[in-house]
Amino acid sequence: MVVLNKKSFKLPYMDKEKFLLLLRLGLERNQSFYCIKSYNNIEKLIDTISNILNGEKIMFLQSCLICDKDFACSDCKYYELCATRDLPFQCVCPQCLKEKKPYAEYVENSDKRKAPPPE
Amino acid sequence: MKDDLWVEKYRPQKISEVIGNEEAKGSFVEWLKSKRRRKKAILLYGPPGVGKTALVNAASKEFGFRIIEMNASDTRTEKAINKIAGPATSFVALDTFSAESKGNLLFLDEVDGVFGNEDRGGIGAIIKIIEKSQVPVIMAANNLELQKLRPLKKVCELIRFQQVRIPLIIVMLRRICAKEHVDAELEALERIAENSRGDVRSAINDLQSLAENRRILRLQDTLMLTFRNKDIGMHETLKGVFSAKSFAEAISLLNRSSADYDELLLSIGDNLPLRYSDPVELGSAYDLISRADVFRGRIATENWHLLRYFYNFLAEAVTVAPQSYRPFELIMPPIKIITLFWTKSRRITMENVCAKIGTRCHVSRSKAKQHIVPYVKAILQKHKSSPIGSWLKLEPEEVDYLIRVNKF
Repeated sequence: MVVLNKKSFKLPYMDKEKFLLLLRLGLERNQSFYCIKSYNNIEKLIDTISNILNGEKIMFLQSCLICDKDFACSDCKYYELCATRDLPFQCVCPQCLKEKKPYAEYVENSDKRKAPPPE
Repeated sequence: MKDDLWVEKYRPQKISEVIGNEEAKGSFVEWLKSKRRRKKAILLYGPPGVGKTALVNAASKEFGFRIIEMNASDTRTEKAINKIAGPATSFVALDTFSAESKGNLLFLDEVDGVFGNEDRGGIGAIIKIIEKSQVPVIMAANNLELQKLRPLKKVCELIRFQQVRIPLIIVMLRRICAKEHVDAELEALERIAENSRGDVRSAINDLQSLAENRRILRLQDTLMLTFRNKDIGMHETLKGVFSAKSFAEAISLLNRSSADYDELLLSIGDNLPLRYSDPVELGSAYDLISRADVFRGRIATENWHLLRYFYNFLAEAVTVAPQSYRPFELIMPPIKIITLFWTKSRRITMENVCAKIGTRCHVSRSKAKQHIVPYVKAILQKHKSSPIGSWLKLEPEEVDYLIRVNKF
């Protein structure tokens, strides 16, 4: 099983054409690791990665926007109904969804992630 | 009345309050903050109710931009756009130099709605404005696949927005319930969120219609919600039908698809060799595709009652052997359309040559192509500078093209 997450992941060796296609679709390579830079071609990106992994099972790890913990997208109870299952890598984990004020925490965390305004 | 609407009352005031699409938000803020933008304009696209307009409004408030907005309710002819957007984008506002304001920002909402006789010349005017603009130009659209938006795509940075995920919509609904003192069951909110299909605006509207003037919202209260049956695009349709486990599943997807019939037929045909490795299965699938093609021809532009047969054959073609499905990379758009795109300039050159021959020889273009072009080509191949070229008023590049071309 191959685990893909927000920060970085490894992919097996591939030919030049496939590598260039991945870059065109929005993947970025940093030494031997990959990360997703653009989500504009998300469906094609998933298809290409599945194709490169040749049927090997892929686990898409989601990072919780509230507690920052990782959890498997396929474990989510809304997985079947989700139109954007697997990618992008950010969502809200089931534990945080049960919290009393998840929205306030979501906004607080978003503010922390955000860079300062333009000069 | 406007403030009575919860979508207005809980409209995000800060970027961080816009829910979902974190990557798109990040890219947009980065672009807006950047002083040396690679492209002067940005086009936010995605389904309705996912926060495109909300993000632009929240970001301009947060960063101190003054929005000059034109939306679908305005007439957006070339004249109207130049009148409003021209001055707003060609001068730097005086208050730019104050600490609070960053100047103007032009926002054209729902640009995919700029078309037809009423908005004649609108897209062209927008492109000219972008080229000259001294301020950021932001546009939003629901459907980027429209032919008329192609020129815009070239001059803009593109940011895709996707449907907001169910857990995030629930988070938003819970916040509104808390503010409105509504005690809502989680199952009820789940149903509203699932029903909205990633559209936050419709989820909030549904919540308001169900929970306003109530203290408690239970699951049974949400049963009256009608299911929002949204159309599915080409990629989703292809992916769904090729992985369908049964004929019924495939036909249900095809019925919900918003894809163009001819493009769908071509795309399914192109992808069949990737779907079936067994030649017998592939043969049966192509046989069914050919029958679907026959029905597409019979439907033409009026016999829509035959559409179900067209869909039935397509669904049968993709479910010849459902058990043998393995994920593969879809070919999209159809090869025929790609080929037409790549050969467009060549076809235009040939058309021009035929038109010139037709004028000189008093024949139609098709006759010129069929009966005269091969002889002109043969003459020019022997003597490139033959007087026939100048007599037909052919340009040097047209002569070169005629010498090179193999197929007419």
